[in-house]
Amino acid sequence: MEKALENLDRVIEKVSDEAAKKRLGEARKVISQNRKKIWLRTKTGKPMALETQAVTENILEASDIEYALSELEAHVDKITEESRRRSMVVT
Amino acid sequence: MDDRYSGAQSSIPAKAQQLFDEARLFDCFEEGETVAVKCHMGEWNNSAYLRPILIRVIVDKIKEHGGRPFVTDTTTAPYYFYGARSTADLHLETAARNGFTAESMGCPIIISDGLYGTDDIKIDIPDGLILKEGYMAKGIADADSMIVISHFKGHGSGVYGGSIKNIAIGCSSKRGKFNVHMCNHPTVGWNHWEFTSENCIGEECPDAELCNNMCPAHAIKIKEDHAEFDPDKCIGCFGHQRPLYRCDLWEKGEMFNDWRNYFLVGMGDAASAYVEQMGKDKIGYLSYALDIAPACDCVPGSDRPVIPNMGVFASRDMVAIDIAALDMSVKATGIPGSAAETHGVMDSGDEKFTGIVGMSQWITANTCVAHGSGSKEYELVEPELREDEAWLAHKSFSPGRPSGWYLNKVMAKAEAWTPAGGFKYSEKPRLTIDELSKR
Amino acid sequence: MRILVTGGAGRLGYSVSRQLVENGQTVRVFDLPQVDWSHVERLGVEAFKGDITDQGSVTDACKDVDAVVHLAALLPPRSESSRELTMKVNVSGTENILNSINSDTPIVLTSSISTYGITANAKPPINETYPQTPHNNYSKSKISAEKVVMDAGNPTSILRIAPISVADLVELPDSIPYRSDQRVEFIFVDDAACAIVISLKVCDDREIYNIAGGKSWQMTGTEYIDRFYAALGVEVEPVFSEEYTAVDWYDTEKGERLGYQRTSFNQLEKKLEVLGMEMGLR
Repeated sequence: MEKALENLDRVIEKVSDEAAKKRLGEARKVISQNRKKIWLRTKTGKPMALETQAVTENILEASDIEYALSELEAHVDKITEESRRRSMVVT
Repeated sequence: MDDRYSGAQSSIPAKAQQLFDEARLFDCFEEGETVAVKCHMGEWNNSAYLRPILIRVIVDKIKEHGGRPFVTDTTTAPYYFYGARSTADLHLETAARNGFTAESMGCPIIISDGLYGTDDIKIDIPDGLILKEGYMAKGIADADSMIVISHFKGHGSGVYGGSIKNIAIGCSSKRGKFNVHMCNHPTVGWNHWEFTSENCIGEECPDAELCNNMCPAHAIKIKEDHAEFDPDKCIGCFGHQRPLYRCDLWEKGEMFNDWRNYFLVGMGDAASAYVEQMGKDKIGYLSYALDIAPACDCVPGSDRPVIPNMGVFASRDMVAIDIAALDMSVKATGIPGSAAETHGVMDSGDEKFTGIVGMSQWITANTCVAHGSGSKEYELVEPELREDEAWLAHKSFSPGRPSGWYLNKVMAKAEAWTPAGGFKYSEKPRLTIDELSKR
Repeated sequence: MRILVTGGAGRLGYSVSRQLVENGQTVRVFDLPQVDWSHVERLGVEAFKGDITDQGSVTDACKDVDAVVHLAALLPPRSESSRELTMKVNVSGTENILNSINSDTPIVLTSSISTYGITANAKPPINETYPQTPHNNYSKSKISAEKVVMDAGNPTSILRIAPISVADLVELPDSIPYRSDQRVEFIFVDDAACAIVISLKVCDDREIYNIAGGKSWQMTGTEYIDRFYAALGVEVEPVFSEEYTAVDWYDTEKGERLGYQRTSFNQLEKKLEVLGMEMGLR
């Protein structure tokens, strides 16, 4: 996940479009908030961590940033959902 | 109605059919509804169970009133290590060997808790006197109504076996039976009794192989000169009664006594919960108090009856029917040479089963009364025997067409059975009657 | 019997629905269309998708229903962002149910021990007679919901349930919402569901019950966190709140007739150990 963050930082630097920058920033925030989550260390969670890295590499190398960006956002939504499912509730 | 015979209408099957109508047992079911006919078809090699015809006549009655009967029972716990009713396939084989088949019953026979006794619904009993839950066989729980046909007699654990026990144990799935028997009860269950491993002589015992293999959970192991028991593995199936009772491996102290008594309370809890589940108004009871052995048909043989036959009972109340039979058994005189004599309860006024088994025969019924599932107040009604006999006969017979009428048709086709000139006889016996009458 | 389970697609709702189906009951689940219905649908329940704040929807859902188990509610943290919405869902929603059923239809209401407020300075254990004090939107709404149900006069069981624990991977929040020295007594989800299912049978008594894990679950906040994650096999660095929250140790004797305390804390740890191994964490 740390590598993914690094990749995103480099993309954010490269990109000039404000809207894209904002979206990238949001995605980065989610990844950062979730990087220490326990579920990412499980047998089924580890692949997600690797996939996160792969998705960010795609953006780095992408020519069509729009497509890669929506792929990133979809992936990040999955992470948010997985974490939300496992969040602690004290009622 | 009693057990005396004085003509076709007074045979036991006839009385049973008459009582079915007199007690309005047909009110339990509507036309087209399924009716579980709960009965016991006898253990392997037992012969004191209810004769198949006693069940068949009720099945016919149910059909006559528009119900859809099926004969049913449930699989057993392994309380007898060669018990041949612990799985549905063995059960049906045993039943058939004992005379119960779909053909002899006139309706299907279904084992209601599935092949291995796992098919059940959980019933919570928040106000149980000792139980908190019951597990009722699904086939019975699903049925629209039930006629419970019981063989009234004594019982080694239940003190007596009647309608309440038929429901509490008979309608439980396998784990329902384990639950009611409370072998794993947290304070008085078997696992808490003192276990003396050295009381077992180990491998030299002829039963060593048997005892080593009898536990489904492998909690008992027979070693060279002692036995080992792991209470954590125990599932409460009470399959190890032999090493308990014969070899004293477990101490039968105060907890044993409590456990036996608590079981009687548990039966009342379970029966009440199952009755409530199905609905009191959907259940009818018939009880045959014949061949009243001191112990159940669930073991491979029955001892000499302890009191003479009492007859047939019918009721819509599971407590009333058992209490009426118990009251009558108290009034009865014991049979010489039976367990009643050995236990000194031969006189009218003695509680026969209480004396023979050593626990009160009233506990289970009282538990049911506490739940409101039945009442000890009853009125004993003895209907007059019906006058005519035709209603009992095979469908093709009637006053206009009795047996002889049909034989007349045969005579017209075949030659007369009587030989030409009539049968030949001597005028009187060659040896005198007096000579022939001596021993 | 047909039993309506509102909020039945949730965690607790699934366990309740499953246990009711095992008891041979017909179950109709009422929940929002957007939640995950996959687990509860596999039980073979009647699925009714709707919003508890929509009276028309609720009336339709209650048709031919013989009893109601009312779990649907807005929980923290979401409840704390809007008092108005929380009261609408948790109180008006309850009123919508009561308006749609006969006065003799039994209803089980899941309330919360949080209605006792912050009891850190009180002497434990807390029993049902302890006064209720709202300290947030959620507890305020639950106190009102209890009153609404009691006033309606239906046969009812009101269950004040302790925080639910699951044998699952629960993520540590940035700040755990209780102090490390806080007295806590949680309850395993299936035990809470068991209490709910059994309490349906005694609604005629119109009683209120504390529902919590039992003696083996009575510990401090830090002990709970340590044992939970140790069993899973995970190293964590918990950060506890500075504030006490509304949880304590409870007197659950009244609810013993319901026979629901079946999972000791040790047994939870065993389940977590198995899970941890399966997940590759241990």
